[in-house]
Amino acid sequence: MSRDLEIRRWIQIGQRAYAVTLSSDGQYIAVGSEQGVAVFNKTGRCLLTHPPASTPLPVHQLGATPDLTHLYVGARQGWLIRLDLEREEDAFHCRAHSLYQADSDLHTLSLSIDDQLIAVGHLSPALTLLRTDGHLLWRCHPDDGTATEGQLWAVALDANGSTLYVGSAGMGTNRLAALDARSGSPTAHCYLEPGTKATSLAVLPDGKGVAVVLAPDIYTGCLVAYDPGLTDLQWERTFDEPITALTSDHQQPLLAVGVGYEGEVMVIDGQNGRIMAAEQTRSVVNGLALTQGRSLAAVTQDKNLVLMHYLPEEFRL
Amino acid sequence: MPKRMLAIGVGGSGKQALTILKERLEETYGQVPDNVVLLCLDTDDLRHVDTFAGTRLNPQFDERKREPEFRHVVSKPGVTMDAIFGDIASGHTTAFMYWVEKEKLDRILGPSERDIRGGAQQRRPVGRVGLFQRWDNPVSSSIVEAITRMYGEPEEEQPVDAVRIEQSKRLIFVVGSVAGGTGSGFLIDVANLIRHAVHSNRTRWQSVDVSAIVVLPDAFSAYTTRMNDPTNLKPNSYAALRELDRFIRTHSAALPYMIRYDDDLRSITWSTGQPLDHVYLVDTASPSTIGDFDLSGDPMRGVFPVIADFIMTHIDGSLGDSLATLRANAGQHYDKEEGWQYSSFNVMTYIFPVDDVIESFSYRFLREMLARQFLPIAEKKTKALVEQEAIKETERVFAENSVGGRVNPGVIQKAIASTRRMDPETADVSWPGLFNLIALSESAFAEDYQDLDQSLVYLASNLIPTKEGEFKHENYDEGYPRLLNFGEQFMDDFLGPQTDPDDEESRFGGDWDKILARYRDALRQRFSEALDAAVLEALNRRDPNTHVLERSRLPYTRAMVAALKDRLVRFKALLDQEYREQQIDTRIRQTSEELRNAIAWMYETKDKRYIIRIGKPEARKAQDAYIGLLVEKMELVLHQRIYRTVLDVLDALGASEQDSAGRLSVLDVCAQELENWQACLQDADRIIRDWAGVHERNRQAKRRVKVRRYLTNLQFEEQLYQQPEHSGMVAMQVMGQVRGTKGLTWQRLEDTEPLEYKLVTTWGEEAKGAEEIARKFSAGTKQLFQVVRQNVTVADRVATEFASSASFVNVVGQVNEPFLRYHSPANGKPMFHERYASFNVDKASDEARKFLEEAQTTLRNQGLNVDATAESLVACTVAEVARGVRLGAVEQFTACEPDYRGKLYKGRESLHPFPEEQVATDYEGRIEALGEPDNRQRPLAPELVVAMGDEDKLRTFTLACAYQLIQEGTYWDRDTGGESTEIFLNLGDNGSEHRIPLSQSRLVRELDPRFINVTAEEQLARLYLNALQNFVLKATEKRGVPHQMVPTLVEDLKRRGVSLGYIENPFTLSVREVNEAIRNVIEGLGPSEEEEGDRQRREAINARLRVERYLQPFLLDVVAGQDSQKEPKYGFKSSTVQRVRDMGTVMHLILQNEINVLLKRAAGA
Repeated sequence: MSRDLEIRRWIQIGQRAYAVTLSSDGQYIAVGSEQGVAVFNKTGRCLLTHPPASTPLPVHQLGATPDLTHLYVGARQGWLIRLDLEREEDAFHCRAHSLYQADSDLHTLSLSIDDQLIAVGHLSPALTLLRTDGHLLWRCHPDDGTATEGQLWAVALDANGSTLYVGSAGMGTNRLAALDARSGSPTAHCYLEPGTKATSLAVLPDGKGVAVVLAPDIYTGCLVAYDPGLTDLQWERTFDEPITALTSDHQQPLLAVGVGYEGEVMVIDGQNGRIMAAEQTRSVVNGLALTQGRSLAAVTQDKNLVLMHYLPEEFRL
Repeated sequence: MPKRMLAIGVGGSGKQALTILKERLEETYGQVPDNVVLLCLDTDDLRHVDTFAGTRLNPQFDERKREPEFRHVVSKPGVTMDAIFGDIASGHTTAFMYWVEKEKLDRILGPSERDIRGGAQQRRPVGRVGLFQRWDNPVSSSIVEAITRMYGEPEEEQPVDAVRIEQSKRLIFVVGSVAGGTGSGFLIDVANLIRHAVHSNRTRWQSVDVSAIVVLPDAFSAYTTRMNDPTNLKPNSYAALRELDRFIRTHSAALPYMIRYDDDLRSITWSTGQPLDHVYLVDTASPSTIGDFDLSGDPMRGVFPVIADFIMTHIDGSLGDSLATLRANAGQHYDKEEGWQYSSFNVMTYIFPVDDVIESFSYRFLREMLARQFLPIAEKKTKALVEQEAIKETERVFAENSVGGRVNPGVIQKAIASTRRMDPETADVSWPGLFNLIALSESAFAEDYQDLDQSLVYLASNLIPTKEGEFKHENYDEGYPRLLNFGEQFMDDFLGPQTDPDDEESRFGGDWDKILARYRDALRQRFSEALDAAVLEALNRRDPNTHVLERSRLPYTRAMVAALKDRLVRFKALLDQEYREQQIDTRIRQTSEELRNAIAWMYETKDKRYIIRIGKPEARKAQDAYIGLLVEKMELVLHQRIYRTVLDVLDALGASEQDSAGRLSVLDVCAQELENWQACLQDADRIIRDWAGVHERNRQAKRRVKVRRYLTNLQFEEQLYQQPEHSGMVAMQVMGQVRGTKGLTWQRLEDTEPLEYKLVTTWGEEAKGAEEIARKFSAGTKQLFQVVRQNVTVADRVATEFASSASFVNVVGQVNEPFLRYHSPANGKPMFHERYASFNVDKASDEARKFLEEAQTTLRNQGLNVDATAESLVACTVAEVARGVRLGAVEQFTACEPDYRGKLYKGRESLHPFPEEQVATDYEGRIEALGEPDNRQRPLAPELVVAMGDEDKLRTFTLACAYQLIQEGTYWDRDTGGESTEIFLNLGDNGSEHRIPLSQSRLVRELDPRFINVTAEEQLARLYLNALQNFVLKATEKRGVPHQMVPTLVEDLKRRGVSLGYIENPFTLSVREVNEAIRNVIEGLGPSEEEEGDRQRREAINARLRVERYLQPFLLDVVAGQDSQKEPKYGFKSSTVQRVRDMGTVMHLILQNEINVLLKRAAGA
């Protein structure tokens, strides 16, 4: 099975990396690490670092437009920054714009494909939706007296930015909900089993629903797929180890997950949960990106960026 | 030479104790010796209040390039407890997931408490999170740096006898309290990281002894009113001590225990032995609690000083060796089985505070010196005398042609001569006389005078009237413009062009000005040099016989400058008066008017024709008048200009504050420089006065320390100060001249610039600003006063302060109990006591030596170890070390248990940052539910707790035992050919046998000397416990550890001498695999689908069968110890040792729970 998912390149980041994103053509990879953001080409050459090395910015979340002209950066201190990237021959230049600040309180980000909206899941009982120019559309936050029921929110905006899927991973009973992205009001929601956490979300392409990582405890993980209304469980797959990363392809009905302490990366059919291919990265996968149904990038706890290539079944000899 | 020692303070208590230790080190050695390293780790920053008697830990590299003494362990930017919870939930951190009780913490932490940058807030897990965040840098890295510096080079030859080995050991003390959040949360990990560092460098660091000094919670009873929530003090203490007890008593190479601080391999450490060689517990009172031995109240006066002084006993080269001699046998008083692993101490120190005395002397001397030399004279009569003397010197010095070899300007000499009281000279205010005043030299004067005079001659000789000489044929109308033009031309040339056509006075820059302009600057320079020479001579004047600076040099010199200025002012006034009398300005005005009339007259008469000549014609008379008036006016103008130049020169030199160009006069420059210096030195004096005040207050604070006696008093110090070899010698070095080297000396700041000074001292270059001066002067003087150290010993002071050697012996004899209240019967034996008295008689007077020799004999007879060659000459230490107490006998420990249990079971607090205790306390809380009168809630034995870190593994092991997958069997050792009974896990399938040995009886026998004397059943029970330990710690997978990392771990353990040989594939046995084997047994019980079609009924029958065939029999027979008639027989719960009884109890709880669930299922059917 491993030959279907082939590791093409190991790139040493030198810093612990937390997030990764790919340009839609798979040519460029942006990595968020303890030092900041770095953009590589697929040969592993670093084309941009931000900020300068003397002022490290621990970046835990990344979102990017398909052409990588805008990169949305979530820093651990709570800054949400947009980097406008310009390519000039073999290098990128960038200008940074601060969009939002939530003091040490950013947990997850999700960017709509049309680059209009950006959703923020907070560590605290809070959710925020912004326009990509930083304009606040709505916010549920304890400071405003509108704390959410649940905290440690995972967020995922659907393809047209109309639905925001959210799942909480706090203590006690957690929630999974679909919200009307423009208003923040729930269109569907359910409570998870007590103790189970929704730690990660990824929308399936073509409005087919949402994939959710559920963690009944810290040692195991379960990947489930719901329909867009969260009423039908389409499929589920359980793992003996925690699922540490999840991503979906915008074009193909494929998911990628990072599982366990040996950093197993699996390509999963988003329609039925079937494992299409798997490969080990040898260290916990902190972030994953998947594009064109072929190009994968993973950042691992042992400070590596791993570039992989998935050969779909129909192309195999 | 001080012994090599590293003191690591953790948390607030560690910080305070180290601060006081630093104060003692500075007292004894003048500074922290190179052999001694201080390192404090705290989650709270170093604050202003973290000071003892003026001493503070250094958060920076010091001037000797030593690493910082204080390291702030603050979480990484943006990391809050919520971020940690988020990482755990996402599976992104393996380091925290083992032990952070996230549910509890999430419930109890308020929003502001989730930000963990400002200390641990009395919460142990928060403190430990801080350490995990920074385990590498600064925690681990600073520990490695500190050990490297402390260890130095290893000895070339290793000693072989036990005492010499002990004496050569490098000592590491970890100091902290267990009551707070940081010290309590850090202590074990810091000890573990020290061991890890030592082990990782074992080729270099072979001889290290690590001890902990643990402050018990009673020390903080005085603080509780000031704390937000003091209710965690006792629970924290109990929790930390019981964890420590596990690490001390249980951890060994036989039970390798992994602590992982981060996700990478480097962060994995192994606890394969007790992390601390000695653990000293510090209470606020001794068992009998009398007199000096009550340390309650402010810990800065009791508990922390006694810790600092105890560490000091180990640093002293001689006393340290004495302590090491007995410490070599400390093992005889420890017993892990019995729990006698703890020690305590008592220290009383008699100190002659030489460093403080030196500092006091320094401040006193400096203030006296500043007052003597530099500060304004307060006493009126003296001040008047000094000023009078300065005036006389000024008159004398500046009346001469040269001052200190520099030319003294004539105008200054003239000023002195004209203003003296007796027979003053009169100034010549004619223009040549005035010009003479500012003459630079005779030749220059002659040249310039001639130029000026010739200009007037030139004017007069060229103003030729019409009809005279070459203008014989000129008409008057031609002569008129010629004369006017010549006059204008002359004025343009010599006075300068008229810049304002309406103002005749607006002529500047002519030849006269060019000549006169040079004088002011030239005389400024000349006078500056002369004044500078006079000032430096006055400032640096020393007594020709003693070479000591004469008194009040700065006030004296200032008075000289003031006197000179007074003379110049008066001289200027005299000149002004004389000049006024000449009425030059009036005459110029009048002449100018007449000149204008003459011009008008010339104009009116120039065209008249005269046929008959009788006398001079009107036009000629008009020309003559014009010529005469112009010459007169020009002479008056020259006079005026020279006078103005003289005034400007006088102003430039000092008659006024500024000259016409706005520059400060020479005398004002000088006066300002001296005034600034005096103000600066006054400020320095004020600063030193303040420091001295603070220092005296600090000394008072030290006197309040309960475990010290400062053997000094004002009278003695006065006498000491006055000794010629002290203040006298220092005065000679500072203000005098020793072997050609001058003390204080004023010099030019720049060689080429007069009147700017620096004060060069014996201790280095000049200082800038009052603060720096005060600091450098203080440091320099303190250095000079170090001679006091050679002249006073504590032995002398003891002999003076105590009435007799018997009274001294009596006081020493009172130090016979440790600061630890413990219950002797509960301990099962009294603690072993070592007692020491240490002092130095080498430099003592004969009387003092005799006094202490008498005392020495008596003390030795009383069983004290007397060390009469202490390294410290200024401290006499009386110490007592008591060893061999178990925690259960320590009153402070047992007294904390109710509060601890209260916090734990009301679910209010996450007290334990180790999963073993988290799980263990959960079971402890359920023991009462068994309803057994002789089996009550208690702390479970640490030997069991070490195997309780993973509840799933504990449960799986218990069920595997019950389902007979884990059973005893015979083991044949293929290496030795020997056979032994061991406990095996059988994972065979379908009748096949795959036996994995879990116990290792050989090791159990080695570690437990009583093993061979107990019954076979008891032996087997102990093997079960060993099997459980091995199952949890060695055989099964470590969560979060990928398989490919396992060989590295095994290799690492092999290097540590940990044998895993008998464990098949260590750390790889999957709990799931064992559970599957259990499931196979369960399924084997039936009934099958064929036998019972209904799933619910099938499960119910199976549940009943499981209870009846396996769980209940195992519980009764093996665990509880009852035969089929419910008669008592041997079971784990009736073992002779607590650890097995506790294992039985925990198994009972697990099985009972399982049975209840199954019985419900069975009943449901």
